[in-house]
Amino acid sequence: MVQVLMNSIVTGAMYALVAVTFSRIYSVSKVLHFAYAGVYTVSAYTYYIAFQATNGRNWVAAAIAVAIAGILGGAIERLVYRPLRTRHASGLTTLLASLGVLMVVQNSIALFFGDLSRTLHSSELALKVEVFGAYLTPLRAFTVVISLWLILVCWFLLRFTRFGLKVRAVADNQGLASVAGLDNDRIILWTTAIASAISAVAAICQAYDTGINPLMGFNILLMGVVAAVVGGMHGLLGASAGGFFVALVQNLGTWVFPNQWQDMFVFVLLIAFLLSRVSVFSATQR
Amino acid sequence: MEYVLHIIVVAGIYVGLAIALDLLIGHTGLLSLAHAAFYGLGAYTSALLSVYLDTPFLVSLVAGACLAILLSLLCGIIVLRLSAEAFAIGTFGLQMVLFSIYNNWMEMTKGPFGLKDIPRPAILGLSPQSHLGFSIMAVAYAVVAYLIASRASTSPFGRVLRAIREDEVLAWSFGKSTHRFKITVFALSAALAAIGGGIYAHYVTYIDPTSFTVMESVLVVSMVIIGGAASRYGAAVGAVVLVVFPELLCFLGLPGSVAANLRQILYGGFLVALMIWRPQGLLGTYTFSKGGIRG
Repeated sequence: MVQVLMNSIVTGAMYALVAVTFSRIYSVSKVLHFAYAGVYTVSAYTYYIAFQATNGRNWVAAAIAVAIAGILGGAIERLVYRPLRTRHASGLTTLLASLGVLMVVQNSIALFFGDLSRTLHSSELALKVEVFGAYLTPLRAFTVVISLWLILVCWFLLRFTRFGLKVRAVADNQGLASVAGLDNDRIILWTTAIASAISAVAAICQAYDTGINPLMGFNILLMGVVAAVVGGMHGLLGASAGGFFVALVQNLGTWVFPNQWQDMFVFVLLIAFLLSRVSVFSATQR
Repeated sequence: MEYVLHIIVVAGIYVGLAIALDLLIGHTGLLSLAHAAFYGLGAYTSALLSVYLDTPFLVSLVAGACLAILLSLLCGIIVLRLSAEAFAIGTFGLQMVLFSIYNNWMEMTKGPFGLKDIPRPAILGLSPQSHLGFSIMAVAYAVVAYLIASRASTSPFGRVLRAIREDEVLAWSFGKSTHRFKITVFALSAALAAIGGGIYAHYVTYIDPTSFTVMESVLVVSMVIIGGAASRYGAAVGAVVLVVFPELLCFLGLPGSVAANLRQILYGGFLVALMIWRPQGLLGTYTFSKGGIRG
């Protein structure tokens, strides 16, 4: 039981980070940014290459991966979403464009690196420590700590800085924000870039935990989206709680049913929540 | 010749699927991401019945369609109450649930190993080995789908659907039960997709879950969008373009896996470019933004 809880907290932390960054991008730009998964995968592969190129200097490699993720996220916003926004494209048009970007990125990676999983090994990180009768590796502890820390940083940025104030203004009402003299496009660009950079951290943690493959981003994004829908698209707390909740449901599900059914639970949960909280998206409908 | 016939079969099935999906996307303004799930439902139902119970081909086909109607009514009642974007996400969830069943219900579907030895019926007395019978059937399927869709779009029923697309509250205020219209069209689209799935299963005689992933749903959506939603021939043209065009890549002599990835990259790039410069598609007149579902 403790092990189930522990696993839920570790995967939950990753889902929470993904859900928070995904929903931040959605709230400010109103884009269901499925290409997020592509950025996520690219940052994991970047880390993998940089890690080998720098002979295992993981901080340098991590910095490179984070930077690349930020640049790529910003580029997608600048080159795809912004032109669509200036043309007053609908949410669904943008969603399709985003899926198009995802197809390009995901298949480019598969083209260059193949479909197979690759793993990163680190003996010191794989060391198992027993805590309250459950096994925990330093890596997994690190994942939890850094995810929570980054969510806190996001919260602080949004709550206490001028930039955060502007982001909240744009998220609230784009028209009013631009009347008030804010440069919406620039704020959306920066939000997307920063959120993408943060997502790279989750990608790196996952690379150590389960290895990398071209579909990793897509799979975790699915869970992140469910978490964001379950927890609500408008707050950090909701999205993070959603992340932990989804992970808990997944892990409890495997306790009762065979492993492979856990995805199904999550999506049944998604539909149930869509049903019971019809207002999830309503604030952006007008 | 057999190769050309094979392409005709595949194109016919996709044209039917795309037209069925266009009933939702173009005519009603609803983006469904569960189309491949219903396609798969038809394929699996029909294949399982034929393999285990030896039912005749047409019976299996109709059974698949009935099951799809049942499921779409059930889910439609739930997810169609939602806003357009939430509907997209809800159908996405449905797609993942059904895929998970195809992939994991080992006793029935054999999971990732797939179902093999699905009987291939003789059509119009033509030999089951020849592709000719199936190409006639696939074309017939596409034509029937087309006729149903054009009948639906010119009838009063279609007018209500378009009214829902443009302004649901207005349609509702005229006393139309918009919810019921949406459920009906969802069921119609699902049934057509399931029939396509049944034809596909009996044609290839082997199915596995990879043919019914969410990316397959996205592919059919791109066919509709690329051709042009809500136009007379848009969905059909989009389907033919996306089926034939990658076949041309084969002549470049690329190895299989490279070609598959390259194809997806081209689809994706094409979709992005089209969304930016021509969101109504090649032949279309309608874009989502008119439907009042601006994000």
